[in-house]
Amino acid sequence: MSSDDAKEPDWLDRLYEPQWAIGWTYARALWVVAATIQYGSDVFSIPDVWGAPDLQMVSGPYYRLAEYFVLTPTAATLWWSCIMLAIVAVAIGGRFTKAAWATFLVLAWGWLAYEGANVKAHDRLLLFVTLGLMLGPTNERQLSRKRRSPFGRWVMMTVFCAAYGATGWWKLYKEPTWLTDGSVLGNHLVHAFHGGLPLGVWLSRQTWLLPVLTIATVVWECSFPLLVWFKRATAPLLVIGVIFHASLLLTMNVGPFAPIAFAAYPILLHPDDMMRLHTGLVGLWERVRGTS
Amino acid sequence: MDDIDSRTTPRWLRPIQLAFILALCVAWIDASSHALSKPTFRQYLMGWKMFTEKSTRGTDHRAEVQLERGGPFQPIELSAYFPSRWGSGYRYSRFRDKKRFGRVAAALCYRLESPAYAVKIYQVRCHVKQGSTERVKPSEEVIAHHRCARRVRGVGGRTIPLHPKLEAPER
Repeated sequence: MSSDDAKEPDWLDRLYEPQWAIGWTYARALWVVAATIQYGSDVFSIPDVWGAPDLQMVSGPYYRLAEYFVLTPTAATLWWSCIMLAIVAVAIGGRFTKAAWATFLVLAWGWLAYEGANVKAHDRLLLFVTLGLMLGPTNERQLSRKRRSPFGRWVMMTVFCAAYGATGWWKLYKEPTWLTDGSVLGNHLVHAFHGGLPLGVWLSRQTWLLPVLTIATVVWECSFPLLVWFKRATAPLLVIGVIFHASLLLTMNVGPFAPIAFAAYPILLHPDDMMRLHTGLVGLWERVRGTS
Repeated sequence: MDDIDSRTTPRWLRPIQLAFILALCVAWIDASSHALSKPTFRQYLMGWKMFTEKSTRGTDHRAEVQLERGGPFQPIELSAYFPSRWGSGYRYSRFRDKKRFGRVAAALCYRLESPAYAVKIYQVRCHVKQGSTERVKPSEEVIAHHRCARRVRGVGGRTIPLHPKLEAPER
């Protein structure tokens, strides 16, 4: 990466103007939390899943590793340990960060593809967020004093435009109750598997509130891919996103979707706004330290 | 802020990066446009479908074990033997077909504390009711009825082991 004074179209230079890079530091820290939540507890499932001698339940239209070999509990524990070590290496940061992320991608995808029985949206989102982070300057330190290429951010924005946009537009096109009585959300909140949390069950009774929530969800998801590219719209969009994911976390069993999505938010926020937020947080931290 | 280190992508790499993003966009649009279809690899990897359609029913499973031939079937907690959960339900909850539940039944025989003669797994379907976790109008069918001495082929053509106490006399 280097600045280049040679002639080229102005629009490409403007497009590739360096942006504040501090968001990548926050994203890396949040990613470590999200990945630990996602994979940390899998060790307890090894006797039942990855190290089980009796039952593999393959599913999904791709090669399932369990069709070719069976892991012993020791091998599965070793595999899981390598995933966790890759997370630790990312947490430490520095020059090996990208290698750690590449290792994580290979091992974690293999871990999911062993059976492929129930690869969830948050499983896939974590892998795409990891890919986005790999393409940013996450192997560098002192990013609060650095401006870097916007390319990694574009990849991350593309990932989230697809995730939010596709699900929102399909809701708009396919399921009228997202825009009418809100019963689609009411039913999901009490569903046998992903529903049933006390707050969700209570919410499913609030028939006046459900249409408001469902319409707001569809409007937010559908507009995200259009608005996230505008600097002034990004912060409000992400604030709504935080409320949206936090609400889901409290009302439905959707795994660690919220922390995984939040790991990308410091990148999605416009770098100038992220720099302002960082400066504010540092100032706040110094005031707290000064008074203690 | 005088010592700002400012760099961007070198010129030669920019077309490659832009082509990568363009390819990503095309792949997303392709996968997204089929997100509600039966998944192929592209939708499975890149198609996003999250609570898109209204769900009026839920599915659960329960199991019974027959310790001796001709004896009564007694209910057991299936999830206690296959405890791993994903975001939405137990690992076996995803499936609806008898072939896979034949394997679950064989594995259940293997995991029981003592050898059994047979096991049955029921698929229970019920309507959901807003404002309550109560399951309405449940209907159930036997999705697997398995005699524990019978060997079942599992994934990759491997045989699911019998209960250790059933295996022992054969050695």
